[in-house]
Amino acid sequence: MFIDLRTVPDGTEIRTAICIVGAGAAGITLTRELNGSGFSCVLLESGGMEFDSRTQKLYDGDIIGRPFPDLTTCRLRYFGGTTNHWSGWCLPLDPIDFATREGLSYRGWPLGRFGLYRWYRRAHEVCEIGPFDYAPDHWGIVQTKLPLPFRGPHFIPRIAQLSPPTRFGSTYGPELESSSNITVYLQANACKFETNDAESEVEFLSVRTLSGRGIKVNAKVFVLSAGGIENARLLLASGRTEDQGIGDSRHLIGRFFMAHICCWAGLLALADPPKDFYFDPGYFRTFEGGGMPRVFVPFIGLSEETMRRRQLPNIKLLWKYESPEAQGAGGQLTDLHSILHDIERRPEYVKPRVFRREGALVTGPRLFLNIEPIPNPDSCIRLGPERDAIGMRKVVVDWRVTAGDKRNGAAVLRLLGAEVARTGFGRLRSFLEDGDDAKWPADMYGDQHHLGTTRMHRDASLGVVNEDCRVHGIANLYIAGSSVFPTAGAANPTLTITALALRLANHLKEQLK
Amino acid sequence: MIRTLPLPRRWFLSALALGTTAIWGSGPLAARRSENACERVRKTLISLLHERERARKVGTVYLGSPLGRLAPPQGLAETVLADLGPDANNEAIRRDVIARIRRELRDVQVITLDGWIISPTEAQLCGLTVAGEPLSMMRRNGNHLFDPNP
Repeated sequence: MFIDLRTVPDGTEIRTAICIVGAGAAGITLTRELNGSGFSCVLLESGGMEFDSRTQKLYDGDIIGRPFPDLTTCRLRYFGGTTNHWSGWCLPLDPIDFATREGLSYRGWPLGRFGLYRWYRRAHEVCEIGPFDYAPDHWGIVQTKLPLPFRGPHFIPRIAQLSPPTRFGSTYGPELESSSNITVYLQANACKFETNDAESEVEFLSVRTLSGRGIKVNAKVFVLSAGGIENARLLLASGRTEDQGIGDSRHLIGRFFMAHICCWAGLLALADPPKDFYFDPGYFRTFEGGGMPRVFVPFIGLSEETMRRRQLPNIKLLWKYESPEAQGAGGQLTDLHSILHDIERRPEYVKPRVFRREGALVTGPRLFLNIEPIPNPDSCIRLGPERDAIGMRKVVVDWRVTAGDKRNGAAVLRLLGAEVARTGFGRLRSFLEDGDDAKWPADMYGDQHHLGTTRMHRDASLGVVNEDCRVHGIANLYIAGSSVFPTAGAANPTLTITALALRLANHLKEQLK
Repeated sequence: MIRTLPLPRRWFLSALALGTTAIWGSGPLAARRSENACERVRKTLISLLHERERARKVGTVYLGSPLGRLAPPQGLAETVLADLGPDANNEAIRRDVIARIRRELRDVQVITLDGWIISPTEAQLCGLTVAGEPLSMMRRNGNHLFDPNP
């Protein structure tokens, strides 16, 4: 059943077994799992079924750190959440992303190396993608045809699957509407969790409409699934003091805010552009095997061995062919030639070559690097002094990257530059200057994956939620979504968000039995 | 009491004169020999590059960079000479340089020149093509060749 909260009398108190805040990928997946479970379930959505600019404006906030996408455009506040403009990239985190790593701080999930793999398989069905299989050769990529630098040992071909993309709202809304134990409230803005005196349990949640109508939701269990920034915002807004959120004795809520670091990182001057250069990282492709065509996108990654031995982060490396007119970023040495090949008497001089690709004249690819950020407690979101239309304090985003992140990016490019030169594939010009500073190319930005603000850790001094996604110290408050990621990996997060929601639903059903 | 020398006086004086000549003469002679060998290796190294003009561009940037001042190009000639000895033929020098570059690339011991990832040996090799004057001149000018603040 769907109810517009604006039709509910002011001061109403709703009682339910489970209250879920936020109808995006996590909230809808969780609610679907509870369909038919016998437990009454309330799903609260701030917006309606369509985009509305007044509701969207509730996302407004300040950005004071590094350049970051506008907070009112990088996410969507209506039924289905940000999946309403999701591009559909799906891939699981790698085993190494879950692991603690020697010499690298704040790393590791308390789930074990394969902790989510059981749930990933089911998440594939939810996201309407192919089998849980990411081996490139099972997607028609022939390893022996790959250019040498990308056959290992350092750089390897990888693929991401593409969801149609599933719009969780329109796809799964009808299922929730016809459910007998689920009630979806639209136009319902969660404002504050109220706890008992000991702050050990949430007693009720205050909810308001934009017109000022207010209700209370009383539940045995609350799940917060409002997104990577809003989850922290609501917890901070629910605290009893100005600077301390609910269940935040260690001042961790909002800290460790991560986004993947993205930039056009370099230029590849090909020595000898292969005629059938079919491995184009970043260009969508269709695989006809397995009965039905499936869309995927290849990219270049680092091998686990290289990440481990060289203490490098996970990456996604894509490229884009430039038109000859767009060239010009070669600097002083655009015609740098391969000295090695010269003295070996193989005349393969490297310079920006113009060649044909799909009928168009193009030149060597420009590299787009997506780097896993180092978890950084100083990168944070917090509450600002301004208030939004429902009286909640607006968020302030202070996204930071460190010199370590920059060193990581430069090290990846040095490694790639050495590999393409060694194998005679070409030459690489890095746009990341060497040096121990945090100076980045002007186009560097954080992507729209908001991670880490309520990070998961067994130890309450290092995490906001435990391995079951329950807030430390609060018996009945859980968090779903990318805010619980303690490390980011290089994967787009929606598949992992969905897998975590499935896992949490299973846990809640067990707990409530 | 003064001891009698075991050598006849004439022999002693001759030996003294020869020793003095040797001490005064061996340094410059050896240095000149070494310089000649180094010059020969340098010329051989430059001859390995066929696209000389392009190499000069790389070399110019290298010599203008702090790295070029830390590891001047002539150091490559000296290293090769030390590794292979003065009698190494051109082919041995070529193989040595190729192996050196390959090793540096494999071990990711690379430098960044104007953003381009390049092995230090490649950079030094290109640097040699810039400084066309004899080794003695290069030595004299040394690290100040492209120093904006000599």
